[in-house]
Amino acid sequence: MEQNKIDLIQTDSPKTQSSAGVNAESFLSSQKEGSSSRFYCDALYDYSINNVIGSLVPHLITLVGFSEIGKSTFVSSMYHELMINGCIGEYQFIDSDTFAGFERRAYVRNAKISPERRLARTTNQEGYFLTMEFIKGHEQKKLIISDRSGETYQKVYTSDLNAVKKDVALINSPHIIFFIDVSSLMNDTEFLSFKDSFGLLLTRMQQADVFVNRKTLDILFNQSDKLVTDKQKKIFEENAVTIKQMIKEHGNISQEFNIISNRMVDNEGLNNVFKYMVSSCDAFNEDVVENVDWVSSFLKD
Amino acid sequence: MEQNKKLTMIEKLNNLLIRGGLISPYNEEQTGHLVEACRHYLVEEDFDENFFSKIVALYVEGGYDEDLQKFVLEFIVENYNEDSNMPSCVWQTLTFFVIYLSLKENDDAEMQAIYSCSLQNRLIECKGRWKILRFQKELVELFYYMDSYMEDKYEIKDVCSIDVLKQIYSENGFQGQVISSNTALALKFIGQNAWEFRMNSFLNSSKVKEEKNPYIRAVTVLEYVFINKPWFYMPVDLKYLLKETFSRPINKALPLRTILKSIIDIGIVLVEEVNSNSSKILQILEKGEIPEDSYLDERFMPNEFMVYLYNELLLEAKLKVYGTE
Repeated sequence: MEQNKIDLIQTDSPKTQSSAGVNAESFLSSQKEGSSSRFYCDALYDYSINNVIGSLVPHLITLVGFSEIGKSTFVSSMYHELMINGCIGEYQFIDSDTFAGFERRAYVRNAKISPERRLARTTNQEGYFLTMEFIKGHEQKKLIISDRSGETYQKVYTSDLNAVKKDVALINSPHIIFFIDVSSLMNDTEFLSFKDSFGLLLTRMQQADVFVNRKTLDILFNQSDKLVTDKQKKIFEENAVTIKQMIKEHGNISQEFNIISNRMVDNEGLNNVFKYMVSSCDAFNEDVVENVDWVSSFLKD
Repeated sequence: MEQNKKLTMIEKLNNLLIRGGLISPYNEEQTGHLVEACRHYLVEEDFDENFFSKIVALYVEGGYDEDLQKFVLEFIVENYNEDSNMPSCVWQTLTFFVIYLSLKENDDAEMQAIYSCSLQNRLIECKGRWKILRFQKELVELFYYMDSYMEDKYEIKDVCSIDVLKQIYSENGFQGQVISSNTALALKFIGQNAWEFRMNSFLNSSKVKEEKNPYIRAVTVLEYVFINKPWFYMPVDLKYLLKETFSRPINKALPLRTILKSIIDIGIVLVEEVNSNSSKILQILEKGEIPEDSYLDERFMPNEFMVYLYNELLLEAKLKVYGTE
C-alpha cells in the first residue's frame, strides 16, 4: 500500500481536488490512461503495477470477458467477502495496494446492497490491476487480479491485433479466467453473435502469442441463475460445449465454474471460486527441480 | 553470432524477470540495457570467487546485491540517459542473472569451474528447503563445471608401453636421459596407479576400518586424499571412495550440528586456511565454533556429508593452485 501512496505523492502532474459525494460515472469518465489517479491506492496500470511488487513473487490472474458480464462485480464480491470475514478459507487478508480500486468497483456496482443498481461499469480508461496480500501460516502471498474493462476485450482487442500485442501482462499472464455470461449462451440468436466475437478475441489472443507461454485456463459461467427453463438449460449446455471446445484449441481448461457473482448470501459456488483463486498463489510457485539437490542426485546415480 | 547471443540473453532475462514477479515486462530495449549493465558489472567490478560467493549468498537468502543495484542504476543513467525505478523483485532476479552470466558467458574454464563448485557448495544451506531457491531450471545448468574442467585437464590414457616399464627396471633406468613427452605421460599413468594403490591401502587400513563413527571415517579418508593427492587434477572416483568408506549400509542421519561438534572435538585440521565463503563446513571446523544457523539442524547421512565435504575440499584445493597450472 505504501508504494502506491508514494507514487501518488511523487507524481509531477497537478492533482485536481476530488469533492465529497463524487458522481461515480462522471468521475470514471474523467480518468485517462496514463494520468495519475485521484485516489491513493487506486487500481493500477501496466506502467504502475511493477512499482508495488515487493520481494514476494505475486500470482497474476487475468479476468477475460466482454462488457457487463460481471467481472468487476465478481471482484467487488470478493472484496466484500474479505472486508466482512477478513479471510478466504485459510488465507487471512492483510493488505492491498489498491483499496480504492476495490472500493470504486464496489461502489459503482453496489454489490451488496442492491445488485440491480448496476449503472456504471469499468471503463477502458480505468486502472485494472488489483492486489491482495494474504498470510497463510507463516507464508505471505500476493494475488494480483487483472480486471480490464470488458469494452477493451469486446471492442478493442477483437478489432486491433496491435492492442493485444501491447498487452504484455496478458501475454505473460500465467493464469486466465474466461468470464462468460450465461445469457449469451441460452439463446441461439445471441449465441451466434457472441460466438463470433469470442472466436475473434481468441484468434487475436493467439496471434499475439498469448497462448505460447504455459498458462492455466479456466472458464467461469456467470449469472447461472438466469437458467430457468429446461429449454434454456439445454441450449446453454450445448453452446457451452462449443465455447469450451474453442478454448481447448488453445490449451486445456483447468477448472470450470458456474456462479452468480452478485449474490453474497448462501453462495457456495462463488466462495469456491474465491478459494480457488487465492490458493492458486500456492500452486503457481515454481516447481522444485529434482537435480537442484545435487548431492542426492549424485548419490542416486 | 554476437547479436544472436545477445538476443538469447535478453530473452532469458525477460523470462527470469517475469518468473521473478514482474507483472508488466520490460520491452526488449530496456531488458537489453539491463543485460549490458550486468555484463559490465562482471567486468568492471573486481569479480572473483569471493565476490561471486557473496552474490550467491544473497540469492540463497532471497535478497539482492545492493552494489549491483547501484551499479546498474548508474550505468543506465550514464549510457542510456534513463532514470529507472525498478521493484525489488527485479533486483532479486538480476542478482541471480549475474550468477548465471558469470558462468554462461565466462571464457575462462578455470573460473567457471571455481564458480560452479562454489555455487554447489553454498547450497548446503538449502538442504531440506529447496523450494526457497528461485529459477531452479537455470540454476541446475550451472552445476558440474568443475567435473568437466577436471576431466578436460587430465584424460587418463594407458600410454605406458612395455618398453617404458622395461626401461624403468633396466640397470640405468632413465639416468642421464631427457624424458620425452610420451614417456612423461607414461610416468603419470604409472603415478596414478601408484596413487590408487596407496589410496586403497589406506582405505583398507585399521585407521579407516576400525573407526566406528562414519562421519569421522569420512573426514579421515578425505583428509588423507587431499593431503596426499600428488596433483590437483589427479582423478578421484568419489563413488568408489564412498563405497569403500561405507562398506556397510548406514541408515542413520545426524544433524549437521552434531556431526561438526564430533569433528571439532577430535581436532582434525583439513585445510590450513579456508578461502571460500561458500565452504561452510570447513569454515565452522576452522573456527571451532558452531553458529546458530538453522541449516545446521538438518540431518545428513554420512555419504551426503562426505560428498559436501569432498566438494568443499576440492574447491579449496583449486583456489590454492588457481592460476598456477
